[in-house]
Amino acid sequence: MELILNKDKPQVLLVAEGTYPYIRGGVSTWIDDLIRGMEEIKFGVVFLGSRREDYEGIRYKLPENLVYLSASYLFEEKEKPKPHYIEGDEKAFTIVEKLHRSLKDDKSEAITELIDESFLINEVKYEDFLYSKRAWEHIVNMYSRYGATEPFINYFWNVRNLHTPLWLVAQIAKEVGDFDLVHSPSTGYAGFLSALLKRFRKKPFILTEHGIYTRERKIDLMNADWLSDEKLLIYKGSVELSATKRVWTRFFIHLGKVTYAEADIIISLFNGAREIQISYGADPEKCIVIPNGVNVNKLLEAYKRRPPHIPKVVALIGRVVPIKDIKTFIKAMKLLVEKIPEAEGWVVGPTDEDPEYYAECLYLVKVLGLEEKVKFLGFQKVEDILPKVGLLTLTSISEGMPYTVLEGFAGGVPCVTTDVGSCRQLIYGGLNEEDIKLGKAGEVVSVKDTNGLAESYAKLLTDESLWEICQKTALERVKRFYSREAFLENYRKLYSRFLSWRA
Amino acid sequence: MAGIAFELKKILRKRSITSIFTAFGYSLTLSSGPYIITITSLLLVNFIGSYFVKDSTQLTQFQVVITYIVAFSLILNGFTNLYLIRFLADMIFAKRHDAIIPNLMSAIILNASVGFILSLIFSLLALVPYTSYDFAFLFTLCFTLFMCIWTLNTILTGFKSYKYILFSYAFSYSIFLITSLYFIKYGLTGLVFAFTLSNSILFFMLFAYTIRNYYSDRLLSLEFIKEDKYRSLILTGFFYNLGIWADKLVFWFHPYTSTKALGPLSYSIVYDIPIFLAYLSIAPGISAMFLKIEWEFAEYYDKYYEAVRGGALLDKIYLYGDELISSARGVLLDTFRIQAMFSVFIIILQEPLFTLFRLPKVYIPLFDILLFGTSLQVVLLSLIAIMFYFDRLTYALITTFVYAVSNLGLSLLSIYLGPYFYGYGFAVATILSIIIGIILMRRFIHDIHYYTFMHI
Repeated sequence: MELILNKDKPQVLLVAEGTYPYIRGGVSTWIDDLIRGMEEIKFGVVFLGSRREDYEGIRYKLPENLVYLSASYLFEEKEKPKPHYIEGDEKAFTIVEKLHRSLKDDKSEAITELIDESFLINEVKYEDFLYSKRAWEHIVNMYSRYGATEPFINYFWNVRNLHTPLWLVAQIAKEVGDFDLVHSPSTGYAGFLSALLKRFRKKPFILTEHGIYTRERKIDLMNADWLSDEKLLIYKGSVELSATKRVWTRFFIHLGKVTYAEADIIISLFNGAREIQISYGADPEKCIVIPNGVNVNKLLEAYKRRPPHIPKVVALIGRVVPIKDIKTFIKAMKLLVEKIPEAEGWVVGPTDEDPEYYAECLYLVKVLGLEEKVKFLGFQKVEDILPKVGLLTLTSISEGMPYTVLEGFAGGVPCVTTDVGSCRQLIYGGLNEEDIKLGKAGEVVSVKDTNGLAESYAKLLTDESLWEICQKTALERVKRFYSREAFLENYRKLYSRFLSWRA
Repeated sequence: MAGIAFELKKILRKRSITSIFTAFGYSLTLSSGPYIITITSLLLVNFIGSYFVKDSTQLTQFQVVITYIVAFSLILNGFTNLYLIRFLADMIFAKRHDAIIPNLMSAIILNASVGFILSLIFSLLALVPYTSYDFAFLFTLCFTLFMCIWTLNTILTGFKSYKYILFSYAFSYSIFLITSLYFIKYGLTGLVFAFTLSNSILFFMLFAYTIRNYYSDRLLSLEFIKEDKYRSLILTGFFYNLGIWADKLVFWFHPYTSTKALGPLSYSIVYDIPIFLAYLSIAPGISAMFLKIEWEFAEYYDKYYEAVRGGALLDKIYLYGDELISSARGVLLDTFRIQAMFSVFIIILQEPLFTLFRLPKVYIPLFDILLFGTSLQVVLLSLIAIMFYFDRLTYALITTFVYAVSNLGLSLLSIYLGPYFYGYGFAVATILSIIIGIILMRRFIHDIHYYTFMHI
């Protein structure tokens, strides 16, 4: 663990997995907003990254009230202890066995033992996991039970690579400085670390899930090259993704269960997400919804700068990565240009995260002859972009609660999205009765529905009265339900409840 | 590697007695060929020489000088040979073929320099008073050549260039036979000159072959010295060769059994002839080991690790693992069986054979126990070969260390116990080392899958 900042004891400790402050994006901005929005609270951030070389340094200006920051890397090829023969403790591995069984059977009784202070540190040590005969026997047993039809080498390395961070995380849980409350914006390893911190330090734990972790991990995994590790080079070439995906999904669902069981409050961004959490085993009593909020006042300026006519520009604000399905947007633009020749499509967001995917997108643009029509603008300030565009769009195959939709609303831009995450709730209204009555602020189509997207773009860009109704709804909805003030107020209340409760 | 295994398989596919004998003969020639050629040509020179030279002590001195050069260059070479072959094998695995030549060159230069300096000091201090500067120079040159030849030999054997090695030995030792007939009139120095000449031809043949087969744009590289993953092989290589020669050294130098040949170079009238004959008798064992490892074991080995890497299901991996284990056992058992059969055969026929070759029958009891020892030594060598296959470097170090120490200690003890016990030290040391090696390997073999996956 690398300690970057240690000015004071934080009241709220945020655990950021692959996000703030090293990567820009939705969750990072959310964290930045949260910290800046509550100047009276001292924050700390524990950053969990994959490998050091995957990050280019701190991408945010760190706020004054961020008093603690540490960084750890979970998939780095560390100096592992030298392989040697270890028998392994029989009793400890009986618990491991019981734990896996109960996670599989949706019982949470053994979870308590896993996150017990001494379990990962003393009873099943990192070395035991890596080299002991019991660990080997356990993996073989699990394989015969669940994976016997997939190549053993894949199963073995998946299990090994997925579990390795648990011990690193346990170590981090020992080393992190003091705090009053831990808040994790995701499950996964961050959620697990928070669960350990709650247990080790006896501090309250708040979980906010922006997306459903297991789903997003699944999609990111398509491009994961963590197996290309040099040491594993000899095992390459045999990685079948579907099997890998199954192991990953199972692992993160189980890890999610551990996290749900330990969290004091489980927050989702919209109703649909809350229901998924409950279906994954979260206690409904603990599950509440707090939607994200945007800085409406700041974006009102952008609204005021809008030209009198509707610019024939559709903008997709987001990173150029497979999960955003930029290719579908490009294809939809091809259809739109056939209907409205002067229309343009802008992709606004960093292109460096997945250069290969970006290259594929550029190629697709070229093949479809859209070089003049589809532009990649890189990262831009939202308030500069909004006045120049007629529509915002998202073609993602997965989303939590997308900021850009709300920002677009605040800037007076209707939105066309695929039916993922909270998009339907945002566009058609769904937070409560009052919200539904406001009406539509754009259009929602199915995932990968290129035709539907193109038609909706065309309809909204040509039918001015419809566009204006949508704009009105958008402005009204964001002001009433999704303002930054409302969002911060909700969290402020929650924090003060737990901080005073424990103090 | 594939070449030889493929040819053996082709021969054996016919599944007849003749095909088995053909395969056996083939592997006998390839595996033991060079040493049989060397020994035979030395024997021939000795035999023919006795008609030309009246003073047979010169012939004895020649044998002793050559034996010393071979023995000590092998032991000294032990420090680098296993280590170097492992390094070069890793380079090949990493597809860095251009690293072979420069590292091999540096190793040869290193070995040659060490060999040159040590043999020069030795011959100036210990040989010049008894011989001439000419002789001392030839001795140094020959020793240095051998340091280089062993390095090349190890590498080419490691890369399975058996046929070429065999050809080079046959060619250069024919030159030795022919030239020795002329130079024998100059006595000891003349014979050593002929021998050095033929070995320099051998050196250049092996050297040219290596250079021709591997390309590089660099001449020298010290990369192999920096590698610290298998440092233990430096000691293993030394103990391995020391272990093989320990009993001979003891008998050469111990006052009870030693006879002076030339200055400090002494030999053992009691021990040398029987041990020499015993080594001649294990050619079948060596060829059986070669056949089993090269043809059968290597195939199961590849099959198993191919299954592991290639994404087989676990039950397949278990199945191939079992096959691999029984094949490893087969290497040891069959090598021993075939050698034992042959040894029994020799023991039955030993009296007529000794008469035929006009050898003193007084050697027979010692020969029998030494034959038992050398037969077991083949088994020990197969065991160590298997350890290297499985990358059990520590086991190999322990086993070779035990062998070197016990062979030294027990051979010495056997001398004190009296002539009746000669040879038992060697045999007991070999058995002891085999037992220790098997105990070590047992644990590994039992948990082979665990080690394969978990100890990466």
